Amino acid sequence: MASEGEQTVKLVSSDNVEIVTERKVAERSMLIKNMIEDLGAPGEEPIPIMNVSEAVLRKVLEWCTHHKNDPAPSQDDDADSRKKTTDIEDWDQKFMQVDQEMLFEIILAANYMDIKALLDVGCKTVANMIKGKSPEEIRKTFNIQNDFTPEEEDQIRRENEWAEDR
Amino acid sequence: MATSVGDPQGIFRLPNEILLTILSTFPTTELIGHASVCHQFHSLVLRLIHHRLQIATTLDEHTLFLECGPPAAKLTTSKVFCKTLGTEHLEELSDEIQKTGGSVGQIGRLGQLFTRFCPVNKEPDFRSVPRPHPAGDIPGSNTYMTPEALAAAWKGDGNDTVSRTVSVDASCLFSQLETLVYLGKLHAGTRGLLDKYVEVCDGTIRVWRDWLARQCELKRWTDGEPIVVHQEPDSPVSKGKARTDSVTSSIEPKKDPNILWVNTRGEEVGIKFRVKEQKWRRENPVLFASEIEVPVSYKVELEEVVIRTTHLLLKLEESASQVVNDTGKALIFGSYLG
Repeated sequence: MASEGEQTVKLVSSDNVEIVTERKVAERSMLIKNMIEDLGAPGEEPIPIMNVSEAVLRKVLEWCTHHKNDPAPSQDDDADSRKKTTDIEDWDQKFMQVDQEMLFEIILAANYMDIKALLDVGCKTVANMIKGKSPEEIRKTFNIQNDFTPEEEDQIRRENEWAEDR
Repeated sequence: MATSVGDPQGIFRLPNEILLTILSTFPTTELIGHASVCHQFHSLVLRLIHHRLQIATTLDEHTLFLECGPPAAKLTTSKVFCKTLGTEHLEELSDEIQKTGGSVGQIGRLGQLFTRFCPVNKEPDFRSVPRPHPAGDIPGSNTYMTPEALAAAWKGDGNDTVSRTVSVDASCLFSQLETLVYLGKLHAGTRGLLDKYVEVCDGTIRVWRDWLARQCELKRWTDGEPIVVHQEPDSPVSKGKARTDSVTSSIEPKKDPNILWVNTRGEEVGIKFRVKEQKWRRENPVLFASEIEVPVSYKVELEEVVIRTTHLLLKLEESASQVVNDTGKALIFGSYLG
């Protein structure tokens, strides 16, 4: 167990590119961690990461490398997450300055690879992009089509009244 | 779903549970604005608000307290506890949301929900329970109870009923009840101390003279009993347990003439009254020319506290956000009488 830090694992992306990385880095992903534990002999057999392309996998591993020494998250963090919407570490913020497609890919990869902290950062980044924006601005930001009829729009405006005027 | 796009694009490539996580970071007041982005956002927002309302109806481990009385008695009126009776139509609406997957208009219907509470004098504040003096009382005095009323009061839940005396002075058209509704967490161990305080509403209820007369007469006609005690056969009070039962059969709060609203506008918090008996002051003549010239006094029972569920949710959220901004110091409210 002492030599765990120097161990390496081979990951294979969805487009069949092999990436060698430190075991400790890869184990930020619970998916990989469990796989390694199940396989027994790390480093020998390549681990396929089916749903993640090379570019995204490298980006995710970059994040894992930076955060490889983070303490394990405690279970009761969930309750606090809502309060700290805007709190994103500087490094993470810079890391997340990518185009939207990449951002969503990272979130999907974090979800698939079960990296809770990265998923959190991704969600917060998207939340910050929505925060304080009008519906029209949100549609513009994410290129969403307004699929309401004028009547429906009118109805929504009226049904939302209970949360206003205070 | 009203519309279905062939291949999810952009943000909608994210699965719903992730979108829900993202949206759940917003307070309800902001979240509701995002409902008008598109159908999918609308249904996600609806689900979140619906979920939050369900949590709000459980009061998030708080207890609801009510202080209600004439302004003059403000310092002597003790707080009463409120038992949750439930939220009307919430389950029907939940089923509907499940079935339709969320459609336009349902957020508005969530705003129409009311949660009902039943005020009780019970524990630990037993001092406020009206008890007859062991030495007896003079008939006609403020605290006098007829033997029947006494028996009813001691039987079952009757003891729990919260009642107030409402007096309308001569040449006044209404009298006011100062009403304070708040949520608190009872401090474990220390009797009567509140850990947390969330104000739900603070205001006055206007009780109109003609309303009192009408409500009281109504009772007299329907059961034909003398006005001292009302023993309607299926009156919830006389049955005790029926009071805490389901709320489905009751009239929609906004149309219920028994409910008076705090601050009259907005209709967020109201109290359902049962006007029990009219006490004539002794000096009054039996016959008089104008009703307004005479001071009147009624005993009213506080049957239910009705709170718009969304109002409850917004208040709970407001207080939660204040806790975050707090420095950790707390104000403690409570009665310190031995």
